[in-house]
Amino acid sequence: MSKKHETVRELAKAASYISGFDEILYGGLPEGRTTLIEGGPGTGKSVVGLEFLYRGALVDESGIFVTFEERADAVRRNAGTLGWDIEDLEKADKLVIIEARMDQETVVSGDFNLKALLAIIEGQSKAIGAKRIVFDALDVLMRLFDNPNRERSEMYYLNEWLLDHKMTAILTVKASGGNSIFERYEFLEFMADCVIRLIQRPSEWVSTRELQVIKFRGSDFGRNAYPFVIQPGGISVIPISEFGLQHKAMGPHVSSGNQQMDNVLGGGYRRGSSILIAGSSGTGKTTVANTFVKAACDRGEKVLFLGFEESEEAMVASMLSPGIDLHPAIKKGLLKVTTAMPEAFGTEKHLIRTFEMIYKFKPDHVVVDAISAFERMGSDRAAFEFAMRLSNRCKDKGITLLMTKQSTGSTDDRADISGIGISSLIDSLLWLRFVEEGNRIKRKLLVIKSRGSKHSNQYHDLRITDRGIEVTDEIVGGPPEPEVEVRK
Amino acid sequence: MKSADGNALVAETKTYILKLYVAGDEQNSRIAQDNLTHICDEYLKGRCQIEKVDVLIDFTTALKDRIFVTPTLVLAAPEPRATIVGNLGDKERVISALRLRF
Repeated sequence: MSKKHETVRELAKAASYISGFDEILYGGLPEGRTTLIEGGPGTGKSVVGLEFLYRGALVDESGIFVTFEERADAVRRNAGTLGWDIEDLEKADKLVIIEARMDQETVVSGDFNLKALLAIIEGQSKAIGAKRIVFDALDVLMRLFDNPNRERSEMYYLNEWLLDHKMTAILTVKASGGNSIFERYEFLEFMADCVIRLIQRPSEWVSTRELQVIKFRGSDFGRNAYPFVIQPGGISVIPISEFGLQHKAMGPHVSSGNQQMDNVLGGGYRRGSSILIAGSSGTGKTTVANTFVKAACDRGEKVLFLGFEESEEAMVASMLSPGIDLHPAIKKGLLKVTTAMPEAFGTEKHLIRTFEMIYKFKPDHVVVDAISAFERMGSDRAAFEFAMRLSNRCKDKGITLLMTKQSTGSTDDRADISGIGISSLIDSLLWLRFVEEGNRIKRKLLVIKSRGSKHSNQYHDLRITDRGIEVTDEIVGGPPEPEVEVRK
Repeated sequence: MKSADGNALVAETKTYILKLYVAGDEQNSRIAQDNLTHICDEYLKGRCQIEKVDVLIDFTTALKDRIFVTPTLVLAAPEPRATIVGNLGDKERVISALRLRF
């Protein structure tokens, strides 16, 4: 008999099928066991529960949603706003909503228990063969007992009942406002096999939802607080790399699309690295970026171009004047251009969209034009977060990330570049600027840094011709030039 | 007619229709039945109908009537409806909720 206990068994998991969620749960929720979801009002507890049932129902795992607070109609309406037709699933006996709201006028006289509710659930469960169950706003039910000891014993009874019936359960409970659950309900954290906390914090302009797994009995799990969004279609959790900025080594050199520029860069960019091209308006950032895009597509590699400044048509058309025709690459499906206004949605949503495109399109390189557009969202942090998480994801996948950033063109350009805080994330930093020489204004290119390459540290002329870019690549010998004096 | 403590009774001519939802013969359900019998004997002699619903046998009625805890006593008539949960151990609250006293 004792032998049985020595066998280490893989804990069975019930996939939630919620985007990104199973990744941090290392497969899903504990199957046939209880998960507690706690969080303040409006943090998305009910939506997580409902999506768990909705996605389950879609793969023939029937479920029961017991709501102690909201009306069943409100639950259906909420589902509708997310684009889920749960009424169809109800008709198909894949999903049952039990509205277990108590009459406000109810008088309590003496002790009672939850046997009626459990009898109803058992009956419904048998009728539809339910495997999943959600008790939404359990705190409302518990308050009815008005007695900490009775609350506790009934919740343990409920938990035992769930275990006996091998239901994968989610209990949602409101936290006291901050991050932590009412002390009175703390025992639920001990009772449940898995505890997940939802947090909503208003960052400067964009409110940020985060999800953190607090405990998972018998299983490892991602330990960060992961951002998530609720959008039409459902929840998306962003499983940011747990290893922070530690990534695999940069890949071999890859051409910038221009031989002279490759010489200046000491062999080109590095595959899988992050490149930032900074400069004021009109210095040629987009042209330099697309020089790389065109060359990559000509080699048969795939590029995802995320435009935040102008429409696809405008961008593609404007590249014809420096002789960069992107149409063939688009037609061949090697180049995918998507454009969006940064203001259209929050940072998280942009990230999710981008990650989904990366997942589906599987590009070799990603171009962002321009990361500075995110500053318009009202905070430098938005730009930084987007760049940080995207570069993180790209590095994990060995994708080259090339971003442009519009700087103000002031004498503080270089401070401005590091000001966004992303230069530490960047492997190669190119600076484009206008410099007066005699009575002319010239474009100049400076490689400020390029990790893993012996790059030039001098200014080079950059010309934009109707046959692409030209760079003067002679590197003057001797000690590195001092920094060019900037006119005041 | 006066009740034991001298208060006038309301609705004294009306018949009370009561529904008691129990969960088999578990303890609180048994206590509630006993308490209800005593209250009816004392206040509603001869004009009290008690319908018993065992939720373990008939969960659909519990669902239809939105009964989630046991025992639950519902005053179905006369209107307005009243709901009392618990084993009816607090007699004062029960007779007050059933409007058997001002």
